[in-house]
Amino acid sequence: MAVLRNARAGIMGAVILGLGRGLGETMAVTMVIGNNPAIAKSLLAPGYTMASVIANEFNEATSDLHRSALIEIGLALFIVTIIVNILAGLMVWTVTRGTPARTNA
Amino acid sequence: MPKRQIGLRRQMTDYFFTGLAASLSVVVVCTLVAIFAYLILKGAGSLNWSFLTQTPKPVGEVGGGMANALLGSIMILGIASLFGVPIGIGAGIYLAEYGRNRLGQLVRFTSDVLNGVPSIVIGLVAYGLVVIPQRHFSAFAGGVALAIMMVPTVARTTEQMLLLVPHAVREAAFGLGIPQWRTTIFITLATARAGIITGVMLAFARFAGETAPLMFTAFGNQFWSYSAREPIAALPLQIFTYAITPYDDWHRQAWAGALMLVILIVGTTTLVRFVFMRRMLGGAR
Repeated sequence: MAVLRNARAGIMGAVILGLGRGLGETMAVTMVIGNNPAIAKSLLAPGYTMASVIANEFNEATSDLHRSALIEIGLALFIVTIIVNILAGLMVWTVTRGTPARTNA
Repeated sequence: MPKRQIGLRRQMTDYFFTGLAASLSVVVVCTLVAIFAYLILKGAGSLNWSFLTQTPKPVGEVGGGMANALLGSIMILGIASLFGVPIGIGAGIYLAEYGRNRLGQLVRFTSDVLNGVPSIVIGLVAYGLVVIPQRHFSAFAGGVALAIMMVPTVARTTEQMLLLVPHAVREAAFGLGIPQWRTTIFITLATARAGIITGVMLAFARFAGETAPLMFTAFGNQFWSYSAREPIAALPLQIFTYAITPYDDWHRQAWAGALMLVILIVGTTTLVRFVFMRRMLGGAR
């Protein structure tokens, strides 16, 4: 209990980092999610993720507008990643702050 | 302390949570074993000599292989490490030897964020940086995309490995009047060599399986290609292309390709860890 409590923020940070990794995962999701461009009401219905939209449509996008839209999804994904990483970094930092940096002795 | 005094309830709770933690660790191992077993079940039958030596055949013709994709993967990884490894090692040296300041913090944070950027976004960036100016897909563009992903991984591993070198070694060098740059290159870096090579090889193994950044850069190719200026096939990309087609024969090839990719990656990782472990044990006097 004492160990977990002290490491709480760090573990949360690691969880958020893992979340960020999963968020950006492209290929594994694209192959199984069904790639349906609609908001599904059921968790079991085909859906779409930001990354898999890009993966599926980018090579087939012919108009500049389509291409720009897909790159904007990429930008949104990038911004989300940065926010997630900053959050996780801050949480890990609150744990490691108190302890001295690893020495070379 | 006699067990009786602790109380049956607390003892049971202890057993329960210890068991829970243990069985969850088993789940971690089982995931890898399950993936491996399923791949062998599905792919081993199609993994044969012609798979390793031939290029893809047209749909409907049985046979053919992924030899060109193997070569493509090697070429793309080669180009990627040409750019990614020197930059990564250089940044790692800076972080470990000079990075105790604001700039070091910034570089550390940036490389951590870069490490978390979705691979598909890296692919888009490489498309914008290389494919649009050149007006064609190429192995070079694929290499650039993987290089961008390699830099933060290699940099942070190099830093970690250099920090493992005891400070007394550096101090001994300074005591002999050796300038810092010589100390870094000929003493610190040489001591950490095995670790850095391990880090680079592990980065290699990790990015050998990347598909997303290659989709708009290397693009894929059904034929032999030896040029860095042409679109080229890559093993993970070929697996993806085959897996989403409706042809049974291509599905079989995709399974075989996936099995081979996993064997290559697990093989590299295991080999590198084994060699590195021995070096570490040999180095610990």
